[in-house]
Amino acid sequence: MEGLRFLLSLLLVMAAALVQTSVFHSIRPLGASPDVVLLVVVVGAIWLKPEAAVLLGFLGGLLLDVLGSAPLGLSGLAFTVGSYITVRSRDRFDYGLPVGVMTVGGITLVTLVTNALIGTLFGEGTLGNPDIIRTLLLVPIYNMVFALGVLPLADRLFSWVAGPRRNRMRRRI
Amino acid sequence: MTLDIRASRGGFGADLRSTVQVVMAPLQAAVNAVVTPVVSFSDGLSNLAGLREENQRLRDRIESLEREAAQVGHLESQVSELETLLALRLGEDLYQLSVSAEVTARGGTLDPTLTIDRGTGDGVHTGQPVVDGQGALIGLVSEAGEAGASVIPITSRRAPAVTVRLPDGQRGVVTGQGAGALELSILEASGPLEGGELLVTFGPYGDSNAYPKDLDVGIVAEAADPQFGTIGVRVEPMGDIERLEYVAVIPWPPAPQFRDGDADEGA
Repeated sequence: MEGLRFLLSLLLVMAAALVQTSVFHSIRPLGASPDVVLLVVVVGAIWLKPEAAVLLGFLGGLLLDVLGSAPLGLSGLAFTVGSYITVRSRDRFDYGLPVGVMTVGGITLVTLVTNALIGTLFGEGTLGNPDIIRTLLLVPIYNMVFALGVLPLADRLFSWVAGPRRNRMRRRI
Repeated sequence: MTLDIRASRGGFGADLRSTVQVVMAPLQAAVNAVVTPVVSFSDGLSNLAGLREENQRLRDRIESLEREAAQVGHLESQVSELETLLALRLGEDLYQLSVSAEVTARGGTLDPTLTIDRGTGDGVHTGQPVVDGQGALIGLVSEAGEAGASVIPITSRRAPAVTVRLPDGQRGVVTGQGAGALELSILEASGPLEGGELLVTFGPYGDSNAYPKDLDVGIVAEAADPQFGTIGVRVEPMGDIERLEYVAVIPWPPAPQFRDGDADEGA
């Protein structure tokens, strides 16, 4: 079952990468677009075992790295951090949609800041970009808006594939 | 975790990147084919209210440009003649050979890379300059695959510096500052700099042969005075990278049949 969940998450991440790099290169309200790959990584990390969740984050970031021209591993590392934080805070998603949406926003912000910090350390100068504040503000907001629809959808999809998450947690307890 | 930081120009990382981009390029093109008409339609709807005003503004602009064109016509012929005499003009053949391409994708949230739908199979190679529909310099091809290529915008800190010429002949260096921003540095400034001055590529200079001559780069955003003989000032890029849909890749450095003329240029 875990393998099936991971495979499903991986497929969703690949589809999200496709959407991120093609659809959102032309749709950029106010000069930024949602980070749907990160959103899917967070959603997947809620459902996967910690090791698989972290691997999913790394692979999702790496996929974005190879589709661009940034040094390989920058987004990979940042998304790994994002998925790790998701694993550590996945209980927040049990408190209802509003809390889950806010958690997505927070994780998005932390992941983007991590990405910008690592990028700056490796000479990308990301933190020096004039638009960095706007990006750091808008992308989490867009992700929160998308999370309003994606979280319930993912809940149904993963529940259909692997059973309800709450039961799984109870069993573990 | 940082798999290939130092080997971005070759090795396993480059192979991986090239392979994934080859696989994803048709999918991205397919998604674009579906999404672009929808986006254009919605853009059209949202802009409907402003179209009449925009139409009138454009008519006024056309009239103004026609008047200017009439005045500039004879000056152009003089300039053309002088350029030919000085052997400074970039061969027109280069522009005729430029490869037009569609922007099919972008990098991640913090990655300004553009992906175009032309690659080595179409004559696009790493290091070639990329311009927009108005001929303004957009960036450089950073990696080229068989059917697609990555373009790093000049506004990126990763892009190589561009040696530029000011209208008064001064030479400066323009470097990317990140999202949509450029900075001009003049190390031996001969005087104050006016805002609004157009910067064009200097062309081959010293060991640098990254860009051909006279491509529009940007406009000096504000006036600046020399500080200890140097000037550092913000520059507005000529090309709008956010809204790019089509670009042209210039075959530069030129092929051998054109290089003879350029050898004279450099002299």
